[in-house]
Amino acid sequence: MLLLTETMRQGEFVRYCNRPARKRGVRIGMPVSEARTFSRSRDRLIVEAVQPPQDRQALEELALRCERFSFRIGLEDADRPESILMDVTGVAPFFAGEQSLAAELDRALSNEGYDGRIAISETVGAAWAAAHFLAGPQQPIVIPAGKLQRLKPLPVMGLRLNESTVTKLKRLGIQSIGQVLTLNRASLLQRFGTEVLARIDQLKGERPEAISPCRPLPRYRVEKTLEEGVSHPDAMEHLWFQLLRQLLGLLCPQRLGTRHLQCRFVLEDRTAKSFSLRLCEATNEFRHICDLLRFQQERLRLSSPVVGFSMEALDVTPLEAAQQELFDGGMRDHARQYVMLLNRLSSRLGENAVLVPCLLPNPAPERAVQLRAVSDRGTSAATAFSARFYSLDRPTVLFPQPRPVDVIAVVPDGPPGVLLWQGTRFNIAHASEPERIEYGWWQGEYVCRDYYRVETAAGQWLWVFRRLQDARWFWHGEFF
Amino acid sequence: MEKLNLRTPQKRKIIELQGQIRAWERGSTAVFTTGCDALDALLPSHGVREGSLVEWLGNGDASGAGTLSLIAGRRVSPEGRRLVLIDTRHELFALSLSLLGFDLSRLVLIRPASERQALWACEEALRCEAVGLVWMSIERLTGTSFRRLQLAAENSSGIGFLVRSAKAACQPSWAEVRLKVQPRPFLRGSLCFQVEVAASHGKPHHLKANIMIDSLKGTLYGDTHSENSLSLVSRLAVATTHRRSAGA
Repeated sequence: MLLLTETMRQGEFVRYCNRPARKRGVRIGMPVSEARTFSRSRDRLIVEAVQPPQDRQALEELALRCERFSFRIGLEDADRPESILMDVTGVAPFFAGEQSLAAELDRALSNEGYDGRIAISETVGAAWAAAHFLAGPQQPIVIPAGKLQRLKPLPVMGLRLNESTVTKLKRLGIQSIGQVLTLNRASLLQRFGTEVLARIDQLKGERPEAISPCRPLPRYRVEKTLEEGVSHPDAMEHLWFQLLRQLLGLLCPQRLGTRHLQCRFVLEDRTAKSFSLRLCEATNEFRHICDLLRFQQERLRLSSPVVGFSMEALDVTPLEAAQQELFDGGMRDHARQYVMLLNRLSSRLGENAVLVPCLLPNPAPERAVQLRAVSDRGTSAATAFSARFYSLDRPTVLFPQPRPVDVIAVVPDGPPGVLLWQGTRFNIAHASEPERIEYGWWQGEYVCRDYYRVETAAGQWLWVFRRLQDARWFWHGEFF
Repeated sequence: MEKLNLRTPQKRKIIELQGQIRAWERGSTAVFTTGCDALDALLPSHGVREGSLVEWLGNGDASGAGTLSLIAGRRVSPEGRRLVLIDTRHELFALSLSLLGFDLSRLVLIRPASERQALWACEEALRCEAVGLVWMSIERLTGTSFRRLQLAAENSSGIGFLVRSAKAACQPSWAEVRLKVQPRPFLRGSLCFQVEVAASHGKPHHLKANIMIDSLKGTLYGDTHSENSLSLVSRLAVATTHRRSAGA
């Protein structure tokens, strides 16, 4: 009997055990003292502490031995990985189908002395759930494309959520993946942050999930050291372009492109400087990257001549197949031009100046929108906003800080009759019904306001609110 | 010289031919409607021509020029092409854009640190064929910069909407039309503006129309009961052409 144990605050518990131990009645999570009682006199009992680094290494070695089944194989992204992820896209025909591939893989693991839980599905999330909760020893599972409904009865743990989230969901009476899928996305985001939404999207394949390969990736890095320092911009530009040409010479033959270029240089005074070039899409176009490098170089202020340059492509991915252009024609060209425009804008103006707005289900207007840089990938928090608003319910301009205004109201606690702001007087001709926004009392940041859309005698539409805590008035936006 | 009768078929033919010559000179360009006949009637091509700039002038706070231009911009933006909004004031409210019908996944918001950067970004975006509409709020614009923007729009067949303050009215413009927007008091629950043509290529100046925004649907419509109704706009257009012809 083999028991692998883990010491926790409450004592020592069984973390893993082998088949003979399970036959005797040992269960994972059982105290070691209790597990020992299942051992019989003739059994050879081995009790060892779990060693996560060694486990990881063993799992990696096993993954590498399975390389013949996949072009890309890696471990799951977790502190203590327990699963091997394999991209088997296009591999199944070599094994006469996915079922045969899974069976062959299972046999290979058995020969190594492992009980594998194998599942093949169209997404990593679905395969993980099926492997953990549908597959059994020597019973691999294949979930065909479009049949993800088979996962709905599985427990919420199948979504790869952390323990606290699972506990919260269970407390709310949510036991299965199907139940989670029926919940409103906005409320999920509010209660659990982005974790649950991200896992749902990964399960459905609506959010890409990359497999980090176990085999160390080659580094794409070039460098140049000079005997004498250079400071002239033209000379430096020439050297950057030379390095870039070398770097792309490594990427282009493999049809690889980069999304993140790290440039570093060493100065004569032994200090080093660096800048990053983040792109919206992987590219290996020399001229385009040269343009972007030029923008970065324009902003550089160097204290002394440069004696060393290095350039590394960090986020290297395969480029999309060029054949598609034949069929997509103009649209694809437009998409490419658009990406190049965004790269140029981000490079020159800075990443934080070129933004994509995402709506958040937050009633406080200043928190209803999240602006993220266009180069951010896979962090979409956009949600379908509930259609409870009409077109002019929100102003086209929202001031970053509400402007405090003095108000003369016709009736106490009623809508404003006159607004005074920095010497400007607005006579109010009409005011809408108040819209109360109350939010954040559970987060300690209480927002309690009555918003009015008011029209001045001159026809201007303003958006003002009265803070209910202290009855002060603020001008928050306008239809500019 | 004998006066031409405006209602004669010959005169109508001349006007039609003038329009055709203008269109031929510009090449075959598409014209996009703003979705509002009264507003279209103020524009030289009875809509916004691709490869052109439109200038919207508003005076002071909440003038409505920005809101009106955004709603019109959404309608005229060619399908399948992206939108670039250059927000120099850093105050555009994306939730409102969504409520007005903008597809946020197809637009990019640029918040430059200075008007110089904004101009550069605007020119770059106008040059890009993938971008259908570039909207920018900007105060200072030299004649040279303006001309560069116009050429960029013409090259890519994009559309540029520039929102400026009414102080710019005395400056030269390379826009196809310069519209002055003034808010009008409350009218039947809608945001109402008077839009006046301050300068235009191919259309008489000082045409006016009352344009309203439907507060439920966010669409534009003309006020048919106002003194500047569409029929009157048409009459004015014909009358101005008459005066010009008479003077010639």
